[in-house]
This record gives sequence, C-alpha cells and structure tokens, in this order.
Amino acid sequence: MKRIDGRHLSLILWIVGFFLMWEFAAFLLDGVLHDPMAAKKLPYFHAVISETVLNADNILLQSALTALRAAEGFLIGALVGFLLALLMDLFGVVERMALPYLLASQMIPILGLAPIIFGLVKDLDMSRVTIAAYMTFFPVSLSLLSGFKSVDIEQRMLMRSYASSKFLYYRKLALPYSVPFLFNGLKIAAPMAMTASAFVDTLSTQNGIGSIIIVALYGGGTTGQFWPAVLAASLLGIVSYVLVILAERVVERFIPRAPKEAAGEAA
Amino acid sequence: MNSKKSKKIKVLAIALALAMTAALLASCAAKEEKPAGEGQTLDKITVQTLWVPQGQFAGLYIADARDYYEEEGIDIEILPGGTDVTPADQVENDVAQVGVLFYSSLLTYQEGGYDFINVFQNFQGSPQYLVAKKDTGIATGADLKGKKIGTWGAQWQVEFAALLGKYDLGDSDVTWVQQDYTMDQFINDEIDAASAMAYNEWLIANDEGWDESNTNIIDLNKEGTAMLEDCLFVKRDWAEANEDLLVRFLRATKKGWDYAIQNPEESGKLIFETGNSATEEHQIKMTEICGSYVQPEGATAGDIGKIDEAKAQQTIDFAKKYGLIKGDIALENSIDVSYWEKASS
Amino acid sequence: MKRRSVVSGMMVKLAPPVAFGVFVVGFIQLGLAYTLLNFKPMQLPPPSAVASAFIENFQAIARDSLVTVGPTLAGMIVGSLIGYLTAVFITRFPKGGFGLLYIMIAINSVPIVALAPIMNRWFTQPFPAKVSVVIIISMGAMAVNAFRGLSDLPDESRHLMRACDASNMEVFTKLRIPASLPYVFTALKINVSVAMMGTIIGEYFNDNTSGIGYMIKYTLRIGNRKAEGWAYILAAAIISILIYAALTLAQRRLVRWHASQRMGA
Repeated sequence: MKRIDGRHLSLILWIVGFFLMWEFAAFLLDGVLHDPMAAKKLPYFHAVISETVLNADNILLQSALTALRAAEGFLIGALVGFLLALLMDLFGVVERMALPYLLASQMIPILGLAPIIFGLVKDLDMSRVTIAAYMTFFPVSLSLLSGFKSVDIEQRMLMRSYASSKFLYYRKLALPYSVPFLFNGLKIAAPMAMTASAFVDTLSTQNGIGSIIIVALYGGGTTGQFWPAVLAASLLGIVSYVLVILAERVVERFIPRAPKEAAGEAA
Repeated sequence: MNSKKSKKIKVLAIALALAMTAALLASCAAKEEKPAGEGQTLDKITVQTLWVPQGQFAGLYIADARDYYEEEGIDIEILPGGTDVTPADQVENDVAQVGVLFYSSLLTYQEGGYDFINVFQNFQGSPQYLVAKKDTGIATGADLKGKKIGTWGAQWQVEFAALLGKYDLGDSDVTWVQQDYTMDQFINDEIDAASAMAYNEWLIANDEGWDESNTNIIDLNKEGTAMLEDCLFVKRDWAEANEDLLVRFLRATKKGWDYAIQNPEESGKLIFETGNSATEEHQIKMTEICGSYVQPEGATAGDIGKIDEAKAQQTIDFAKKYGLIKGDIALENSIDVSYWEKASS
Repeated sequence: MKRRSVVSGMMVKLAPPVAFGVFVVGFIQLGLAYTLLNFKPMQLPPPSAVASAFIENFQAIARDSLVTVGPTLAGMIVGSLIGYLTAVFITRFPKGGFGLLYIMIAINSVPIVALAPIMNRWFTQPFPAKVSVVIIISMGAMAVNAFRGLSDLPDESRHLMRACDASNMEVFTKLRIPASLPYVFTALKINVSVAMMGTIIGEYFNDNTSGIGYMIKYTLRIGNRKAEGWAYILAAAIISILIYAALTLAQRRLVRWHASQRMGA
C-alpha cells in the first residue's frame, strides 16, 4: 500500500509541476519575450482553464461524442488487429504476404481513404468508426505478433514434443505469454484511437472535439475553445490509457502469465 | 494474494464491464435517435457544403430554418464540410445529392470523370482577395514579382495565376507558400501577399487591426481575372431522374438567399445558433458580404442563382490556360440552366 | 553454397508478398474491386493509372519524397530516444518517475489536427515544425513499450544478478537494456507508420509547397489528378516499407539471442 501512495504522490507532483511549467513558459513568451503570437503559441494555463469552465457543457458533450466513436473504433480495431496477428502467427506465409501491405495501408491518409470508405458504407457515423478502427488496428497487431514470436523457444519445443494441438498451444502458452505484449499494443492504440476519432470528427464539422478544433482554428471569434478542446482531448487519451491498464489488471488475474507464474508480483 | 486485492480486482472488472455496456448502449441509442421524419410525403435531400456552417451557405441554412424546403415537400439535411472529405466525393458516393463547390474546382471533377453538372451559381464572381500590407508596396498584380504569396491549394491558386498572367508573370516569378487558412503568416510578415476571402479571412484580419487604412486589396473581379466560385452541383443522371425535386429544391434555396440578403442580421444570428462556428457579429457580416456576391449591384432577386454563361466560359478558359484542367470542357456539358429556369418561372 | 542459399532464401521470402501484391493489383485492375465493392475508379484509380502517374512524375515524386523523409527520420529517432530515456528514468526511479509516463501520454494524445497547426505557430520554418510533430507523436509508443521491456526481466537472470552482487548500473547495461530490445523494435516499427503519417499531416499545414503530404492534399482535393495523388501515397508506402525492412535487418543483428529471431522462418 505504501508504494501506491508514493506513486500517487508522484503523479500529483508531476501534474502540478507540468502545469506550473506551462504557466511559466506562457509567462516567458508573453511577459518576457513579448511574443505577439504568445496567446496562440501557448496561452496561460489559467486562461485555458477559465475558458474550459466557461464552455464546460459544450466541451463535455463533444468530448463524449468523440470518446464514444473512439471506443467503437478501438474495439473493432483491436479485434481486427488481434485476428490478424493470430492469422500471421498461425501461417508464416500470411505474415510474409500481408505485413508489407498492412504497413502500406497505414500510409493512406484519410483524404484518400474517406471516399472509398464512404463508398462502401455510405453512412457518416459508420465511416467515422471504420476509419478510427483502421487507424488503430496496426499497433495491436504488431505488438501481439511480436509477443507470439517471443514465446520462449524451449517451451515452444516442449509443447511441440507433447504433440499438443495448435489450439492448446495458443491457449496454454502463446496467448498467456503474449498478454503483456497485447496490452502494450492496446495501451498505444487506445490514445491513438482518441486522436483518430478527433481526426475523423473533421470529416463533417458537425460535432466532436476535432470539430471544435477545426472551427476554432479557422473561424472568427471562437478561438477561445481551441485550447480547452486540446486539453480535453489529452485527458481523453489518458483516460483511455488508464482504462487499458485497469483491463490489463483484470485479465492478468484470470490468465496468470505462464512462464512466470512462480515469481508473483514484487510486493 | 490477499483477499483485499482480489476484491478490488473484482470491483474493477465489474466497473469495466459496466462502462463497456454503457458505451455500447449509448451508441445504439444515439443511432436510433435520428428523427424518421413525420411526413411520409417529404422527399429527402442531403446537401454537402464545403465548410463549417457559416454565412457562405446562408441561402441553404435560412431556407432550412424558415421551412422553405418543407413547404416544397423536402426533408433537408445540411452536412457541414470538413478538411478530409470533398463534396464531390460525397455526392459521387450518394452520401449527399447536392454539393457546394467552386465552379472552377467542379471543372476538375468533370475532367476526372465525375458526371456532375452545375445547376445553380451562388456567387456571381470571386470573393477571393489578395491582400498585402501597404508597406510591402504591392498594389496591383504587377508588383508581385519576386514576392511570397500565400495559397490554399489548386482551385484558389489558379485565380492568382490568372492575375499574374495578366501582367506577364508566371509561376517562376513568385514563391508560393502554403497558407494555413488563418491570417497568422500575413500578420507576422512570413508572406508578402495573402489569400483572404472577403467574407472570412479578411474580417479576421480586420479584427487584428489590418484593414483598408494599412492594407492593399487586389480584387480579382476588378482585375478581370475572377473565376466563378461557389455553385450547387448534382449528378447528371440524378437530376434527370429527379427533375421536379431538384426544381423545388432550387426554388426554396433561391428564396432562402433572398431572405438572407434582405435580412442579414436575423440570418447571421440564425446561422450563429446553428453552427457556433464564429461570433454572431462575424456571421452577420459574413452573410451580408456573401449576399453581395449572390445578388451583386444591379441584379434582382430573380437573378439569384443564375449561371452567367460568359463568366462560366471565362472560368473554363482560365482553368485551361493556367493548367487547372488539361483538356477542353464544353460549356453545355458543364452547366445546365434549365432547372434554375424552371425554378424561377 | 551459402550465398546461393541466401539468394534462394530471399526468393522464397519475397514470393508470397509479391504474389499477394499481384493478386491485389489484378483484383483492382480487372475491375473486380469496382463491381464487387462499389469502388469508383475516379476515387481509387486503377493500378495502371497510378503506375503511369508514378513514372510520369517520378522526378517530382523523388524530390518531394526527400522533403518528407528527412523530418520523418529525424523526428522518429529523436522522439523514440526521448521515449526510451523517459522509460529508463521511470525504471530507475519508479516512485519519482511514475507520473512522467502519464504526462507523456497526455502530450502524445494531443490530436494531430491541433498539433500540426500549433507547431506551425511555434516554428516558422517547415522542417522544425514537422520534426516537432513527429517527435511528439512517436515518443509515447516508445515510452510505453520500453518501460515494459526494461522491467520485464526473466526472473532467473534477475536472481542471478542479485546473487552476483551486481550494481544497479550493471543490471541496467547487462540485463535491462538487452531485455528491452525486442520491445524497442516493436515500438520503432509502430513508429514508422506513425512518423510518416505525422510528417504527411504536418505538411498539410506548413509553409512548404512541396513534400509528399502537400502534394497529396493538393492533388486529392481536386478531381483530375487523383492518380497522381495515389502515386504519392504509393511513394509514402514504399518509403515506410524500406525503413521497416531496415529495422527488421537491424533487429536481426542486434537481438540474435531472442526467441523471435531464433526460430527461423
């Protein structure tokens, strides 16, 4: 328990320190360097907070919309990423066949992708979720695959010598072994799904946090909501990250890591 | 492992499961929420605009807000534009039936194989300014040699290329700098001359202290190098199959613009409430300025949306001369005035 | 003899991806993608059109690629380094460093639609503006992965080190850093796509009127140059595959001992 308290204290200190540094940097820009763009480069933290409070209901509502689409995209993307990794590990040919193209597929920007997705699904919200999923499956796939490939060679041989089925191999050895890799991928993918979701908000600037950002950037007079939206998006990213960590704790409880079962956790 | 810890984990598991179910339920609910439309007789039309809800599209938003579409038996949905999808692709994919595009830009799609026609010309000229601080000494197109010019992309740049061409200048005589839809680079002297829409970026520059007193405006309409901007386009086969619906839609849109032009203040407020994309004052000014391009001096309310064939031809000619399109496009294949005429009679 | 087996090995390795590529290209080129999946040739130009646009504009594409590759690599290397050092710090000082990872995730979560214009305000020059975007979006993946790798030690080795009375420094250089390498390479591989995309989107906003990102935006937002736009996307894909392949080779040299490299094909 003691260690956890220390960690929380550290987290609080870092957050407070970060905001103090932000405030100080803003002061440097504005008060010392007299940068005419100071408020646009980095406004005072307290100014951002007061703008956030002023627009709290809108920011909250739009954040919720973006987070919801991100969650849907993330779930689909993670599932697709999982299945792809499994396929690639099961059949070496698939890996060699598909991996370069999976990587290449990540190079298609939304500008090129959107018309194709819209042509497939027609619906704006569906397109948004599909694109968010598209932008998140890759880290999950790659992480899980490298997990599968890191299964200890002796153990792999051992399993093989027992002539165990593929199913047993994944259930008993490969999957439990790869859990940390998988969750690492998910930890990277979850905040990515958030930024992807904010990105697809801009497909049609109706709602969502990305929409606030675009409108505030280019419109006249609503620039005040820009930084609150950025702050909200960052918070969403952290929340998604923490959710994955919590999920990991739950899963680790049910699937103890095979190779290290004995060690347990350092108290 | 003590029981305290496993209890904590159980609570976590339950919380996670709950959160996920809630997210799923919420997303289902959000989808079912869409209004089905009470009157079965209403025909659905979706319009894809170029950008966020603003005075630039006042005719559409006002016709919607004042129920002109409903009176014509149309259930309207206006999709705001964004950065990563074009109205042309949305119409091509039947996500929308009507789109807003620059006429110059529509030409590129026609050349690219999209079977679209221009049926309604919103702006009877180009609201695009090239602005330069007075101390740069840039007052006309001739002064642009060796200068840095801000550009937003092909369809905007071609109008400046035409301006340069008028003064025997070419691409190699100037430096193009990508402008990021703000006026920051102009204000910070990163560029000598900036793109500015009369109804938007120019107003933003005004807010920051740059106006006629210290800034020169090059007006492309006065220079004679303007190309037609915002128009309404549809798929040719959709128009043929839905002639009556399209005519009704254009009639309501025309009425919407007429009302917006006569009541810019009320209209600007309405658009402000729709989109919240700029301040109320900004939207009112934007509506007023856009109105002056939709119904220029000397034109009547009846002329709203009319496609001026001479100006359209000039747009095609400039587009070809300055490389926006490579081949020829016949005017009669590119525009179709018949729907507007029926909507106006 | 060995050389010949390397060559034939290469052939065996290259055959599946090439076969798959031929299949995909044929699927689109023969019109199946258009009839079965309702893709539009105007929106997804047939491979032949993309190929001829690629050849026709090869010089321009090569020039724009150079503009894009520089900031991508620079940002990816610096960003990954910052991510790694952060992970080292957190591993070394678990109590004090704990919060740092969250700050990093927070910065990492700034949507790129906001990040690119912000960096454009900070740096008037396009190069640093792009590099800073890439740094910020690539450090998170590395920090998360390296942190896991540095703390994920085989217990036997940890006990052994402890038994040998090894100093913290020795545990780090001899045990933790090598143990983190597989994770590091996974993060680097993820960062290839992240960094390329970061530069491309950075180029949507920066001052340059060159670079793959600028050209993609320029050509895909009008109707008659889509094939050219896809030729630029192809260039981005080729570059990222090359960087990825280089990483795979490096991984093979540096992490020979690891299970993932010992199994063979």
